[in-house]
Amino acid sequence: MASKDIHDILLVEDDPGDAGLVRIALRRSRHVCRLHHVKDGGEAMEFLRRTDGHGQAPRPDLILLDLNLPGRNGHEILEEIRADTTLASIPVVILSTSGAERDIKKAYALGASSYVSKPMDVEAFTAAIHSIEDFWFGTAQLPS
Amino acid sequence: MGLAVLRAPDVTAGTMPKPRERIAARLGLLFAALAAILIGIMAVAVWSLWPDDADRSLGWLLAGLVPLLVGLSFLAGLAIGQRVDRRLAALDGPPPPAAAEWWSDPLGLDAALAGLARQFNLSLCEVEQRGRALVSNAERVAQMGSAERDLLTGAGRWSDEFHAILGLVPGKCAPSHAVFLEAIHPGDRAEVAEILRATCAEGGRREDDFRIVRPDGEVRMLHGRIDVSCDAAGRPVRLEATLQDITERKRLENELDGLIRELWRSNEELEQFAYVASHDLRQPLRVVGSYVSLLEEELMGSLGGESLEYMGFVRDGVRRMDRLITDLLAYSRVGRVIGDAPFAMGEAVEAALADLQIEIEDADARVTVAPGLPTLYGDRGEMERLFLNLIGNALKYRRPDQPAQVSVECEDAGDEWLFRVCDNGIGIAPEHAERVFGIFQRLHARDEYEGTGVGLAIVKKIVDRHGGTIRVEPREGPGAVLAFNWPKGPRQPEPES
Repeated sequence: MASKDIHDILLVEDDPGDAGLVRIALRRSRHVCRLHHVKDGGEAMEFLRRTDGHGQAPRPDLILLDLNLPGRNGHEILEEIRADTTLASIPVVILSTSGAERDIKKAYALGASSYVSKPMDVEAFTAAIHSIEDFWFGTAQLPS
Repeated sequence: MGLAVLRAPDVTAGTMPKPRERIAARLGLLFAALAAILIGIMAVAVWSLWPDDADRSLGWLLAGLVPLLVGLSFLAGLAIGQRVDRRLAALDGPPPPAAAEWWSDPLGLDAALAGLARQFNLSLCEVEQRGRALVSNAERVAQMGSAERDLLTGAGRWSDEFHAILGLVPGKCAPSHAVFLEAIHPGDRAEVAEILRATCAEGGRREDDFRIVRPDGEVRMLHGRIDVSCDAAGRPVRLEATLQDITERKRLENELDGLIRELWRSNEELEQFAYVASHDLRQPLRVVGSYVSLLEEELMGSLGGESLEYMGFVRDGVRRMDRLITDLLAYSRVGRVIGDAPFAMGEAVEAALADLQIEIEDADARVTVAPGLPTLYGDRGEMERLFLNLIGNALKYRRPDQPAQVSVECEDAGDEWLFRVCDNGIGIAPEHAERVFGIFQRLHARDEYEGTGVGLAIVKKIVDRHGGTIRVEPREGPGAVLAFNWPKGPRQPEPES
């Protein structure tokens, strides 16, 4: 089992519909997670650096990052996280609608921990979120 | 008389008298004239010195006077002829130096020959003029003007077309470097002047494109070539130049460049569109579909028959829309990433069959593939997709009352391969044989057979891109035959690995 009882997940997603699906999937999960939802890259960096009203923000155990975001896109956020030595060790899972080869290659090149295409139907979506949780909070060892 | 005899062998024979013969003839004639005069003088002397006046014979006088008269009149004739010759020669041009004095050509043979030579020169001139006219015509057709210049004397000549290209009128200007440079666009003048100077100084060949401004202000683009030849000592002696008006060519080239740029831009836009379609269009669709499913889940039990049906329509619409977008993307991506290489056709077909395993089992189908499929040149992934679509169609459009039979056949058709995918399904009516390859073209109601109508459009695009052709072959009896040709070699040969 994992070393922590409650896992903090930062979801960077501008679409409330998708964010809701993630929330529903986590609610049905066997892991205990706290979901923190931010809507764009700027807010994500404020959360991670605990600035601008995010002073009490926990350090997330996992970041779920959408690519298609308003303003700076997911690739740019990923690059910024990996460039920041205090944040670089947090696993970042890209969660995107895009299955384009160039998006996938670029994400891995920038240091994404994994890349998951959002499945079309809700069962598959829930299953994908559960498998992400199972891997990162069950199988994998995370930095404490 | 004597003259006629002496001239006869030369002129009537029509050959040039040799110099030695000419001198012999002239001397013989002179000596004959002198001898006649001498004889005349002696005869007159005998007559005048006769001792007895009464006995003085008139015969001696005549014997003296006749040769004298003959000799003198001959000399007078020579002198008059010489003067006439000189007058004529003065009209035609400088006299030949050898015939300056009458005694060098007492019979006028040289003058006659000179006349012949002049005629010969005249015809030469005519031939040359006709040649020039021909060259000038050719230059006009080729829109290429030529110029030449003797670098030692500075004498130069521009062809008519050379003048025409520069917008000048032949004869209205003296061909010179200065006039030429004057015609060149100020922006290019220094460069061309430098090329002219350097080539005239060192010899060799140079080419350049430059603009000119014609006297009427029109700017034209020219291609010029200059070739300076040197003598044995390496001194530049002769300049030859050609000019060609390439304004039209340049304009077409620029137009072509513009079109290519435009094509690149529109290709990039298309790629961007494909990306947006894959991402942005599917995103809201997914949300709709997912929440309809969640609603269904939550309301399960409380929903009536009609409401359930409506839910079903929404889910079905979402799923269809998603397939349309996916298929449209697949269509637009054919040929976008080209990985052409030799590949084993058999492997591509096997891979497609492996992907279709579930469909084959569902249809209880028997698929036969001709043995010994060849190695083809092209994109293997696209070939896989091609068979995925063709065999997939054969399975989908099967007759419900009998098991599906699909066969993949191959035939050697000279410089290309001919492939056929045959089935025993519902077939394609001849009037739809062309239509089936259109994008989003469907022949059946959606509740009969599922599909977006993109499959065969993708197949056709793949075949077209590889230089082949595809068609529906007419068939006796049930089923459909889709036949396509595939070129044996790549359009540009590449070494096989």
